[in-house]
Amino acid sequence: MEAVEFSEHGGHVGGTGAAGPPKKVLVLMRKAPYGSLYNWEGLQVLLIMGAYKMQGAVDVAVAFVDDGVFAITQGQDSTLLGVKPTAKTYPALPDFEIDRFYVDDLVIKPEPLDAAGMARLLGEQDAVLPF
Amino acid sequence: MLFTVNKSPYLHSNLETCLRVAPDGAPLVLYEDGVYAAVAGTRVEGLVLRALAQHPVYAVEADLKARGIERLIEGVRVIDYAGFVELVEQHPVVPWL
Repeated sequence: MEAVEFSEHGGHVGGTGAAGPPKKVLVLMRKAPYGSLYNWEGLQVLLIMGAYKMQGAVDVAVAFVDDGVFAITQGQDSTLLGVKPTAKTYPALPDFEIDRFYVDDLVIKPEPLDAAGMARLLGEQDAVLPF
Repeated sequence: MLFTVNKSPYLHSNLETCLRVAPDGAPLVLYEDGVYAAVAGTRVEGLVLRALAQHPVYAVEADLKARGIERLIEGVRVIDYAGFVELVEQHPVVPWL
């Protein structure tokens, strides 16, 4: 099996404002926190994406669907597990320019997004990063 | 036999298939994402209530707390790690990963 060939002058995600409008990227959270590293990794990617957003390269949003909604429930205390409480980082995301949140309305009500709305959101993206 | 389930019941069928094969009276321990099955008022509550009629069902405290879970289905017993170890010592373990 051979590796995919990359062009030497391959394309890049994003680009500057001069190269066109910011690429739309959606971080799609579908896993519960703590049971696996997916949620934590998604959060790291969000923080990194925030830096790109500050440069005007990308337009980032995050959507919580399926078990992903458990990442943002209140009252989480992971002291006994001995791991960082990821839930506490989400409220800080607007400080990193991540301020568009979507939540599946089947599970949690605050800023609901129905299936059609989710399909529309997915269709608008240049890239969807799943966690 | 002690059955252990660590996956979310909403994204995986572990709990369902585990309960299909677990003999009457066999204890079940929910841990890691498995503890989401113990939450009261979800769509798997009926499954867990039926399980409770045939099995002792336990949920691990550290995993409940980490996830902020407070409202448990009545009958589910909360255990700490020492309690988990005790159960493991008393039964042959069938990990239903």
